[in-house]
Amino acid sequence: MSIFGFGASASLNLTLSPPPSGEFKDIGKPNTVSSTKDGPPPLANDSPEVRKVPIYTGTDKVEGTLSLTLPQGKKLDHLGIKVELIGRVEMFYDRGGVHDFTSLVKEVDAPGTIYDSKEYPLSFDFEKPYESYRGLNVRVRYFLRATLSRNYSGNLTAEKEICVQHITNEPEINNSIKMEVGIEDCLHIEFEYERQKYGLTDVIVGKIFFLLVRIKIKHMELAVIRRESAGSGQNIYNESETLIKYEIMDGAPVRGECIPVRLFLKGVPGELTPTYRNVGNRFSLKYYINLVLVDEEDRRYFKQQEVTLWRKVLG
Amino acid sequence: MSAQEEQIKYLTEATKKVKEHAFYMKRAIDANDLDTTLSLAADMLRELKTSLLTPRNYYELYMSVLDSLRHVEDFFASLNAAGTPVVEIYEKVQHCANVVPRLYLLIAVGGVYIKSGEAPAKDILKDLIEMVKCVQYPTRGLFLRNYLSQTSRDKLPDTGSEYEGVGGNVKDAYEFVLQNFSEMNRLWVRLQHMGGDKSTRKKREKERQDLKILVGTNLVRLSQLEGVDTDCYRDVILPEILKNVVECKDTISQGYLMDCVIQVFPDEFHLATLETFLTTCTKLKEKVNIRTILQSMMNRLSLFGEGEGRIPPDLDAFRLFNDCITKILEERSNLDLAEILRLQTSLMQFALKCYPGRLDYVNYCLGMCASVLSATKSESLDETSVAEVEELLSIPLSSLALQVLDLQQYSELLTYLPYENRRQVATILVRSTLFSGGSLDSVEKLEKLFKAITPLIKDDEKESSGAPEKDEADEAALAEFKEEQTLVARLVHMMKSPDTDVQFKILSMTRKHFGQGGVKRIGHTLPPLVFAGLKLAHKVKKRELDAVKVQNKLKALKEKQEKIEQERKERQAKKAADPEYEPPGPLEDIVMPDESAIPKPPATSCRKVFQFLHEIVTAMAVSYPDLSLKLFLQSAVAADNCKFKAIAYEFMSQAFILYEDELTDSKAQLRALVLMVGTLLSCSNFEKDDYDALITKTTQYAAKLLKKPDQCRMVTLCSHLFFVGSAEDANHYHDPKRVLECLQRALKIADGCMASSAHVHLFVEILNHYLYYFELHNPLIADKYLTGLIALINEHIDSMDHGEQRTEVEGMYRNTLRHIARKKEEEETKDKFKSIVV
Repeated sequence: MSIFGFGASASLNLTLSPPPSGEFKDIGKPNTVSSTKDGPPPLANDSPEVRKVPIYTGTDKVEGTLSLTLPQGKKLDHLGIKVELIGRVEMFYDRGGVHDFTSLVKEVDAPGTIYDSKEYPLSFDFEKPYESYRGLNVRVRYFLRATLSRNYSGNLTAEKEICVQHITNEPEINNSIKMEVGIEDCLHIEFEYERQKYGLTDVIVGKIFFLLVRIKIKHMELAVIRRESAGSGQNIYNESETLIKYEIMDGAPVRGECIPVRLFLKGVPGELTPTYRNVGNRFSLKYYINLVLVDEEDRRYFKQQEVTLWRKVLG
Repeated sequence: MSAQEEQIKYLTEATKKVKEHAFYMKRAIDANDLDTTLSLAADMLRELKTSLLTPRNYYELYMSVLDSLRHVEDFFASLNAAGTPVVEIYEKVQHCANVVPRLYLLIAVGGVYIKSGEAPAKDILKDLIEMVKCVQYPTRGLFLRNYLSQTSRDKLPDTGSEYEGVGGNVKDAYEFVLQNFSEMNRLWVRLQHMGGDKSTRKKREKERQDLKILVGTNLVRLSQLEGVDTDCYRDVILPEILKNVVECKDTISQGYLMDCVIQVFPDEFHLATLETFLTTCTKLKEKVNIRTILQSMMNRLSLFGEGEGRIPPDLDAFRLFNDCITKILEERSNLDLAEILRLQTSLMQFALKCYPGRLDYVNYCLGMCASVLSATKSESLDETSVAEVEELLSIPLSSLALQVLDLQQYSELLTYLPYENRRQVATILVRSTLFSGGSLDSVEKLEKLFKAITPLIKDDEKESSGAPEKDEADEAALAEFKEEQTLVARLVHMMKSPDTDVQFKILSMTRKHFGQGGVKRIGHTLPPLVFAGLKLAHKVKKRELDAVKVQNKLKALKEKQEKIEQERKERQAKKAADPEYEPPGPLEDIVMPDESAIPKPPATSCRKVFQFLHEIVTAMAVSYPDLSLKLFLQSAVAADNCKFKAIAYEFMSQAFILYEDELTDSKAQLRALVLMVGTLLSCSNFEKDDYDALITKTTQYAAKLLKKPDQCRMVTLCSHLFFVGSAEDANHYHDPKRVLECLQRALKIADGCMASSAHVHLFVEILNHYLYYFELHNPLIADKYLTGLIALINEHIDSMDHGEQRTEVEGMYRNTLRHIARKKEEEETKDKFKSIVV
């Protein structure tokens, strides 16, 4: 809208065709249940309203239309219209820490004068190496930006966010996690989780075998922890987030007792993502399960194990 | 705040919260909102996480939670009916982060899941039973598992159940229950070791007792499975249960579960597994009361034996029980004597009920006790042991009665009891002997019996306090003593031998034993013996007479035979002299009866029996003169009946001596005199001189009575002694002069009674006697005496005071006169009576 009272002015509008997957993701929806204190703080230029964002896999084409709307009888001089597709890592702890790992520019119209409303079909076929991610200190975003440049009275822009998710094949090697841990003459347990790698909707199944119990255990829980590790060198920012404390035993077992473990990852509040080993050398995201035994004096005995998460389906 | 108030506070608070959550939860259910329902249900169930409540109060809370949980179950079922697959709910409830609410919800869905048939029952049950392991806190675990047990109760794939088939079979069903049982038992046992020191042990044990039913319910479930048959029980179920029992090494659990097994499973199962069961008993902890376990098993089997069933003959239950007991005795040093005795008592009781014919079993048990007792060195037994021995010896009595005397060990055991307890046992023995109604027909039997009941028969040798003193204040003891002696006395009536000789031996022996009883006892025990003797005397007499008859017959036969023999010889001689001689006819052949068939005369003569009686009564005479006098008189009548004149006289004279020496009480004298007169009148075989002596003496006694009216009456009575029988009777004795003397003497005495105005009465009585003799034609009783007497009475009766006494006299007198008037009218007596002036 023009403030100088020339009536309705020209506007740019980006419209995306439905993604090949047909999936959309609600973004900006607050978590219904969150185990963390206040939830992640809103990121800069993150719009607060809930919106549906199409989901693309790493190789999906992004198609759509850019429409330029001109009021009747007006003309528009411009220096060119371009559409960029940007993949960007934003570091929250570091103002201006914005790193574009992908930037694709398409010139959709050469400089000139436009007398009528106009539509430009768009098609981006490019590799999207990372998943979209909204973490505590970091986020990975993909978005389309159309710019109409003008000599004066500023540029016209339009932005559209997209969501990228990678579907991985079932890992070929998926060994169980098995380990005997303990404190000498005090506690000896052997725990076993069936696998090391889990799909986001899988169930962690395992058992805890008590070989020696000399402490008075009150209960035992399994915590799912997400660790975001951003930066490098001296400026590493680690942020651990306990997503759930899932009680798996009440009371004190005796020697020889074997306690089953069954944790539905689907039931873990806070959005689970796959494990990200290295995102553009900027950050990594890892998941751990932490077995915690609490005794009657509220002392905690724990053992943490990394698990690898992978995505089976979009969503 | 006291612990109890605190408990109430906790419970009230928790219950209130449960109600609150339940309220909102129901609203969510009404709104068909699964997620909210689950979250609120979890809130509600979280209250069950408390460790503050005692088991009892926790139960209260549990019940109120379960109440609301039913709505959740219904909700799940309705969701399923509306098309939601149960498996989705089954997964969803597992998202709950707290283990206790999660598992309650899982079980709730599990029930619906099984019902829906979406998955085989056995798989769901397996999953549930695995998952509930996550609660290891004893109380919470027990209640959670109880909820599982309750929910799955009607959903087990038992034989004949709708879940059988795809859902599994009975094996899956019992394995599920057995596993739950095993885990619950372990949790229950663990409760014992939940910290705390010795001071809280009692409390803990009490709490555990409150929870035992939760564990026991599993056994009930097992017993309700249709598909479990005897084989399955023997091969799988019981061994598994017993394995748990033994391995838990917990006293309370072992005791309770063994008892539970006995109570919940059917008899047939027990019979098939008795050996296994008993072997397990020997493996239990020392503190477990094995006796009560064995006892209830024995009771169970004996009830079965008494009912329709029979213990199969190839199952030697007695031996099995005995082996078990023997083993326990060997292995356990902590058993006290009383407990050992109780064990044997139970075994014996079992034998008595299940093997009624096997006296050897009973004897065996008694023997075991005897050897245990003889092994204890201590001089005297403790009180409980004494009570046990008493019990042990009393039990067989009710069913065996006298048969116990055939058990060698019985009497031996008796000797271990103190006098007082032995007396109790003896009383029961006598009672059951009397009740059994058998007969005591041999000396040996009696010997045993008397040995066994010695405490009733004589005083304790060590202490003198056998029979209570008469003047003792303790009337109860006296009454008891009397009752006991009466019981002993009643035994005499059971002594019945068909052979008089044996019977005499029996009585003599009894006499010997009773004789040791001392003064207080013989008063009760000897009289029946006297009567038994009298009965015997009659029998012997009859046997003697029979023998004489037979002998006479034999003699006659022999004479006849001799005659015929003579004849034969003569005929032979004649034939030798004259070959032509023809005998006049054939000679009769006399067949002598077989020697053995001839009834033998009794070895004990009737006379001897009377001697025996004489001796008994004499023995009592000093202490019980009144009684003895009667017995002498009774014996005299009997002897007279048997025609022993001398003996009868002896008895009479003994009675008279007693009268003279011992009877001082005038009332007793009067009573004795009446009896004496009666006895004399019923005897009929006295020599005349003897009779003279006796009646003269009697009349003298009568005249020497203290009170005049007594004198008068007795003298009148004695007059009859002089006028006995009619001319043809054996005991005919008429002495009219003496009769008149007596009556006149009586009148004279009566006349002296004027002061007490009893005289008129006496006059009328005497008048009656006059009349009697007048009618009998006593020549000396003339009409003038009657007329005079009537005039006398008329004269005195008017001066009598009006009152009861006078009315009575007048009545009697009127009747007498009426009699005379009647006689005057009767044809036969008209002439004789007309001279009497009224």
